[in-house]
Amino acid sequence: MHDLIHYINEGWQPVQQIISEGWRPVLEIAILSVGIYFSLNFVRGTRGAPVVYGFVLVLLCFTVLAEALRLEVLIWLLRSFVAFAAVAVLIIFQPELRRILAELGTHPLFNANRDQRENIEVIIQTVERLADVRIGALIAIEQSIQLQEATESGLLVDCEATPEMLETIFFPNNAIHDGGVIIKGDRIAYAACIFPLSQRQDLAASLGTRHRAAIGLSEQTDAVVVVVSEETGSISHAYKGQLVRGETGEQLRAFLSSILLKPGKPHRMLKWLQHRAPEPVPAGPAAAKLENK
Amino acid sequence: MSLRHLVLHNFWLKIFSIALGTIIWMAIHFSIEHDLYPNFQPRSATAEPAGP
Repeated sequence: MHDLIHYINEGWQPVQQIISEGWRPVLEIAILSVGIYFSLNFVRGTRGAPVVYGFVLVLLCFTVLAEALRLEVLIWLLRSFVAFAAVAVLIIFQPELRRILAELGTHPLFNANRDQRENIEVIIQTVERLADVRIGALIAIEQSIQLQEATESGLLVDCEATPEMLETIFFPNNAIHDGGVIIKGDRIAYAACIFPLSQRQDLAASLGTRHRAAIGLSEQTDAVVVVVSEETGSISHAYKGQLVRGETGEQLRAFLSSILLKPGKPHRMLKWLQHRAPEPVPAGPAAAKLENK
Repeated sequence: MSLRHLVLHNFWLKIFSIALGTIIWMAIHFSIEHDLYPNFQPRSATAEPAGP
């Protein structure tokens, strides 16, 4: 019996050690797993995904082979190569990383959302009219990330955004009908802007330069880009690198509303002030008559 | 976001991430141990064979 207790005590000690000090490996594995999860989620669906998968597969095969056959030189080479992999990742995912960093820097906590309700109607009206007569259009709505690079190639317009003005810009044979329009707030800021073309290989061959430019800009920024096809007259939108084609005006309105009219919680102070505001008193004789009734 | 959504959304990707994280941690952990104690061998391997 005494031996059994002694045996249990001896066996219990490593378990106690793991419990008392085991939180560190658990924490490390948890941090690693979260990092891996977000990295995989980030890579999935980007243009660099096949490159990364291929790269990791080749690296894994070589590592297993080198370790199994104890090929010391190959193992050393692979270990040195991993350091360069970080640079390769930076180059492959440069546009995506730029967008993520820009999004982090422009968190909604520090930026008030502009109400773009009127813009949506202007854009819907414009694209519907242009689609009817098959005139191509490329409209980017700037959000929190500045479209600085694209504006450098464009022409400063700075006028109120109206369907008539947008139609005029995109009218064929016009001096500034080529390129895209950038809308900032409620104004047409720039026209004839050259947007960066998407380098994705998986895009349909039927997609023209206008659609590729829309995807390209949406890959690098958080802008919403609306496209009207000159050939088919179909309406599309690109957002965060995803292109949705063949939309109706209603579908586009619903999408733009969901992106541009973010339902933010009213500020506490604003809410308090609204609550404190006195009841509006109707003015004028008409109101007095109503009250007498 | 519900707890159910938090767990079940991309469930297999999460499981795969945990598995990969564990493998990577173990590989690095044992590699560090090996670098720190290059002559370390498990007790069973160094134990002298018992006499007749």
